[in-house]
Amino acid sequence: MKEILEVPVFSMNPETTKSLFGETNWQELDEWPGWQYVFFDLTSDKQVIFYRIEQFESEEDLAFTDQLVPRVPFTWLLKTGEEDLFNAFLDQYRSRYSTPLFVLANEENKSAEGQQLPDQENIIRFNPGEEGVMRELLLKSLKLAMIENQERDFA
Amino acid sequence: MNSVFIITTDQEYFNLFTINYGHLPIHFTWFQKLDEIESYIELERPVYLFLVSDHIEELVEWISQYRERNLQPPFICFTGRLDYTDRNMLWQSGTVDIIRFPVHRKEMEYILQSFIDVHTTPSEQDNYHLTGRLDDFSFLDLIQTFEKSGKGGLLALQNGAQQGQIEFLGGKIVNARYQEFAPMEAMKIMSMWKRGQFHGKFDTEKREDKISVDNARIVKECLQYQKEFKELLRKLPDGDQKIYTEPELEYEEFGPKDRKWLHKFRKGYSLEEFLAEYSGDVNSMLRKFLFWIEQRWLLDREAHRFRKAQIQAEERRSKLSKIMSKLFSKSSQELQPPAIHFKKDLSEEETIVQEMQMKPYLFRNVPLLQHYIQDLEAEQ
Repeated sequence: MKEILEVPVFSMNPETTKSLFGETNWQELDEWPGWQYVFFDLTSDKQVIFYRIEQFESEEDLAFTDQLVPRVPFTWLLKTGEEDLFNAFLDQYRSRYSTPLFVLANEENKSAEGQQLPDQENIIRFNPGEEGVMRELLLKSLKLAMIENQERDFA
Repeated sequence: MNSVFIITTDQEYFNLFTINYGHLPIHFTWFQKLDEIESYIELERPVYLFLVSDHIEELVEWISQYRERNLQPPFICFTGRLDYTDRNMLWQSGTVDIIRFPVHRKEMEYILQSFIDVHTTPSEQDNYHLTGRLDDFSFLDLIQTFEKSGKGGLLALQNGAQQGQIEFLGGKIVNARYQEFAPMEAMKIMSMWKRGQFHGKFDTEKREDKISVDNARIVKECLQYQKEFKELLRKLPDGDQKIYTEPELEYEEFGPKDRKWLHKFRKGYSLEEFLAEYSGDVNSMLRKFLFWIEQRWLLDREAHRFRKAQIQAEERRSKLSKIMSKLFSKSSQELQPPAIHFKKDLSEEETIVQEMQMKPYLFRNVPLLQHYIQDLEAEQ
C-alpha cells in the first residue's frame, strides 16, 4: 500500500508556481472542478500530492482550502516580489489556519525582490536549478513539521 | 336528447360518464362549481343535476348553494362510503338518490336509464330552435343564422369544460359572455372553438347593446384573430416540440402570471400541451411566447442542452479565468490593491469572529512524517 503525503502549495500567480514546478502537467480534481493537483513519486511506496492554490479570495475558494489545509502536516507558500499581496496573504492565512506554513523563497529572485521576510524560522530558500530541489524542500519541510507537531503536543 | 349537468371538481368523473354512457340519449355537461350553472339551466333545462364528490363537505356546500338559488332540477348525489349520519343528512336535504361509488358499469347504466326514463320530457327540448355540434356548424354559420333571422335570442356554446354565450337583438350581436373577458374579446376567443356543442333559441327579450360595432365588423375581427393565431403558430416551434426555460432565467423579474407559465416550461412544455390547457386569450399568450423565444428566455431542446452544458463549463472555467485575469492584470504592471485586506487594529468583536473562524490543525500522523524523512535522508 502506498503512503501519500498531501501538500497544498499557495502561490500568488502561475509564474511563481512555474518557478518551482516548471512545466508540470497539472490534473484537475474531479470533486473540486477548477482545482489542480500533481503526483510526485518519492519512492516506490511513497507519493506526494501537491495541490496548486492560486486563489484564496472568495468563499468558494475557502470552501476548498478549508477542507484541505487543516488535515495536512504543512503548507507551502511560494514567495513573490509583490510585498503587499504577499503580506496580506500571510495575514489572511494566519487568521484562518493553524496549520504550519513554510515560505519557499526563490534564491534567484533574492536581489531583484529585496526580500524582507517577516518570519525567518519558517523560510526555506531554494534554488530552482539545483538537482533534487523538490526532495530537499520536502525534507526540510517535514523536519520543521515534526518540530511543530512536537511543540504543539508538548503545549 | 336529455341533458344532465354533472357537477364535480374531478374531470375523471365527468369522463367516466361520457366514455361509458355516450351511447345513451343523454347529453352530459360538466361544471366545476354549482354557482356556474344557473344561466345554463334556463337554456338547457337539464333533467338532473349529478353532484359527484368523495367529500361530504363539498356535497353539503353544493346542496346549500342549490337551496340558496332555488334551483329546480332534481339532484342525485354520487359519493363514496358514508356513515349513517351523513347519509341521513343527504336524504333530508332532498337528494333523489345516493349512489355510492364504486358501481359496476352495467349497474350504473340501469340506474341512469331508470331515472332518465321517468323524467324525460321531450316537449321541453323543443324550446331549442338550434342545437348541434360545432364540428358541423361553424361559429360564423351560427352568427349568420341569427343575423338572417333578424330575431333576438341566445346562443350558448360549449367547448369541453368551457362555456360561453352570445346574445342577439334583432339579428345583431349585442353581448358575449365568456369568463371575465370583455364582449369583443369573448367573441374572438369563442370563434376559435371548433369542437363542442351549441344550443340556440330565439326570443323577444330586451337586451343591452354592449358591442358598439356591427356584426360584419365583429366577424372581421374574429377572422383576423384566427388569422393571427395561424401566423403565430407558424412562427413558433412545432406543436409537439418541447420548449424549455433558459436555465439561468431570473424568474423574480417577471410578474406572477408570466412566472407561472415560465415555470411550466422548466422541464419541457409543448404548445400542444399549452393549447389543451389554456382557455383564455390564446393569441396574447402566443405573442408572449414568441417574444420570450426571441429574447432567448425560452429555448428548444437542443439550445437548452447546449446552455446547460455551457453553464457547467463556465462554472469549471470560472476559477481558471480568475487566475488568468489576475495574471493579465499583473503582466500589464497595473497592480490592483490586494484582494485580501488585513486590518491591523482589530476590534474585540472582530477578534472573536476571527478566532471562531480559525480552523484547527488536525494533522496527527507523526509516523507518516518520520517514514518520509527516513526515506529522504536515506537517499542523501
